[in-house]
Amino acid sequence: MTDDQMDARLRRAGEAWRSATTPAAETDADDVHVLSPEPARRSRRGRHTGLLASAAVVAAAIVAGAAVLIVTVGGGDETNPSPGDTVGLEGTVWRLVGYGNDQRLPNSPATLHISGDGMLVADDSCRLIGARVDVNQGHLYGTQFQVRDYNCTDSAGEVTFDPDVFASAPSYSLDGAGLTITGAGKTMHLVASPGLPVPTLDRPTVTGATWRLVGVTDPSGTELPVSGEATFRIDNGTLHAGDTCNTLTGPAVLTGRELDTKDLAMTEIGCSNDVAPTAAVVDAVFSGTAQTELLGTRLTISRDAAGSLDYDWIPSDAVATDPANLTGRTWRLTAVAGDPVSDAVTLRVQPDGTTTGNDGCRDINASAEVGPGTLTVTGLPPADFPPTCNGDLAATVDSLLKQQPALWRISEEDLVINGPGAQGFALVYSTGDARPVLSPLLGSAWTLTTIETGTGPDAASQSVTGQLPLAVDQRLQFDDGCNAHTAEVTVGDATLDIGAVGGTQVRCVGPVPDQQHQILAVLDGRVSWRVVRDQLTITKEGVGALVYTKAGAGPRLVGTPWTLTSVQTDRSGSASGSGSSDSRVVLTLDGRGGYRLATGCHVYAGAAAISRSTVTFSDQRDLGGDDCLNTMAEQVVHLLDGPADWSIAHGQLTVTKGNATLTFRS
Amino acid sequence: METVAATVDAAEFADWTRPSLLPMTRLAKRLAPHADADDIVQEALARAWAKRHQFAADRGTPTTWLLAIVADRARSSRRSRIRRLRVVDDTADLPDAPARDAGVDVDLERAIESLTGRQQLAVQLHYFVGLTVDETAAVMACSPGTVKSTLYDARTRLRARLGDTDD
Repeated sequence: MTDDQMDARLRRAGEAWRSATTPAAETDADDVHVLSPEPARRSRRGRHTGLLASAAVVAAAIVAGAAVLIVTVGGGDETNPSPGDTVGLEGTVWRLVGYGNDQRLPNSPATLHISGDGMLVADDSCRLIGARVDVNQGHLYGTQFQVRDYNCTDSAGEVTFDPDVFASAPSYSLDGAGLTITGAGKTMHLVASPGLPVPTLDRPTVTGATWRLVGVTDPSGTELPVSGEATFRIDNGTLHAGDTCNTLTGPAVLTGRELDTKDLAMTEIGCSNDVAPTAAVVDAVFSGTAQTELLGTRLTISRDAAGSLDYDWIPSDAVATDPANLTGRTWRLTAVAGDPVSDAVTLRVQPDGTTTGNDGCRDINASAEVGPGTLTVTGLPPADFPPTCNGDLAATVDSLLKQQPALWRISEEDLVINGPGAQGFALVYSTGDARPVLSPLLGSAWTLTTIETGTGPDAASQSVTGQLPLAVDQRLQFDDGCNAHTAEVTVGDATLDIGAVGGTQVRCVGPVPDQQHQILAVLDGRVSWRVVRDQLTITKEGVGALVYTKAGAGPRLVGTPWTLTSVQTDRSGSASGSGSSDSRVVLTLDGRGGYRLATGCHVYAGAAAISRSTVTFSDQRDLGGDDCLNTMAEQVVHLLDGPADWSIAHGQLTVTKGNATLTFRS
Repeated sequence: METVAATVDAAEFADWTRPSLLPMTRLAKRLAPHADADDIVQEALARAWAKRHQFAADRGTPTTWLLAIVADRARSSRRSRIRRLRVVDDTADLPDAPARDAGVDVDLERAIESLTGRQQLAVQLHYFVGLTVDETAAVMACSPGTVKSTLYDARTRLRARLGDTDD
């Protein structure tokens, strides 16, 4: 049987099946009355529904059912989803309003969110809780718990999450817009609060966050220079820190503000004279019990007679906290602490720091320093508002903007600004810009990484010779490795219409002419474009595609989905291996001490302790999946156990364990 | 409708999803023949409602977006069933196999079940739900080229599988 014959057989089978399952009254679906005055119960048919049931009837029931669910999620309906139902639990921001029969606190800033992939984040003014949860049979089964403390001094009068409840495999039930979670002898009451931002674990806390060393002071009070990159991070009770020369790893116990880090292991690289004094202070601070002080995004760790270390917070999500996504847009306030805002409150921060807008009472004319995830606004006048305006709103806006620094992030296209405490106490702005906030084709510089030629079975990828930039603004500008080109361009939502291309006309040699030909063939006329994370793909139908990476973005070990491209094994000098450009095996390290490996068949998860050049995998669990076979994945699954060396170069991640080398592309 | 605003009401949402209901039901039946397709579609609609603000018109049509959610729900349903089967050694109460009866190419159906998850999804979307390659790519969040090569691999595997029993 040829491929064409197989194709024809599948088409016949598909047409026959569609014909057999298409009801005669299919078109009746258009006549369905969607919302009946009496809300219908969600349809729960027996599982023996006939395969050939009328699509129109099915459609009617489904739409009516969805309408009931919609009302349920929005609140106010009396439908009670069954305890095992997950409708609305995941993907909704829930506000904790109280326990048991205690008084409800409707404005509590404590929020809970469970993502579709099972990541639970609970946040209040004193604590940040993260876990993986399996939502099953009306219970929340949690693993990989992390409980991180904010620098709160007093939570009296506030309601906060009890980690023991989440750790007890609590039951839950949904009731209209309400959620009840019961476990460890307590019952939490929560309400759906769509105006609140989705809480994140990417916050400046002593544990579970990455800190960059920015200041070192020796015991005499002398400030020492910090050269090179040295970070500090504690995950699951294990410290990984650099001293600007060597790496320290070992157990770390944080009790209140006291950090106990003795008995650390350290690499033994000989340090040059210029970094040795700084490294000695870092080593001394981590050789016993030290004190931590967290103020905003600055962490200071000091130890008597050893010195003190200043660290600045590094957000894990570089895209959501990229200043380029905040600046140059006019943001309009939509909610404060979950309450919708109708006043015209705006904010615009220019790349040069000029900050304008309105706080609800008066115009803002200030300056701001924008860093990754941080915003330091100066020049706001004291709060003295005329009685004719909404002074409460303006005071809240000003107080959050005046934090030194305020924290910001882009969350689902919205700008969220809050302080270092409870994330629910936040300003949420949206932008009216037509261009997507997190897919900045315009105004960014891109570097070509891969040329894809052909389509279907004949598709092939080739790497690129030289640094070939591309930029799209008023015009399209690009380089083919030999010549620089420019062209008129009209940017659509997913297309570019490229006009006549002009440019230099240098004669090309070596492999460049082929490359030049392929680039010019793709960048011709109407093409489609797509930005995913830091990768831009421009496709010319029937010709091929060019894959660019955002210049300067560089893939990071943490947070980047790494796709396996090859597995090489070297035994006794004899190398063997397998490779694929589309292995479907994707490894992601989450920066919270965990990893996730999706093989296209199964999904695995486990712990990953990362240091400068090694990553130690452990606690691998099979999260289930389809019953299929992926031989490359089988090899990787077995290799992700124990320590392995890692490195990133030219957009590729290499993981080496024993005589095996795994290569991934970002 | 280009986007689904957070403020859209239930009736508008129902109108918006109505054209996709039949392909959604078809895909649910194909991917989770042992489950109740209606339940899967309902769960998918509820999820779509909760996540309606995440729909992006530049990444595909409403139908392809909704089908991607159905595929995800069907996968979960299949996992749940596997868990159930592990615990309860009694399949008598489980639904019958899909109605692959009259006029159904039984050998082909069996062979399709031997494909990898992504190959099955591509085959079901393209041949049985009746999507174009571009639409299939939008559901699977990959390029049309990848869909074509996945379908090619699937056909190759099916040919090998059916070689002994076929013409």
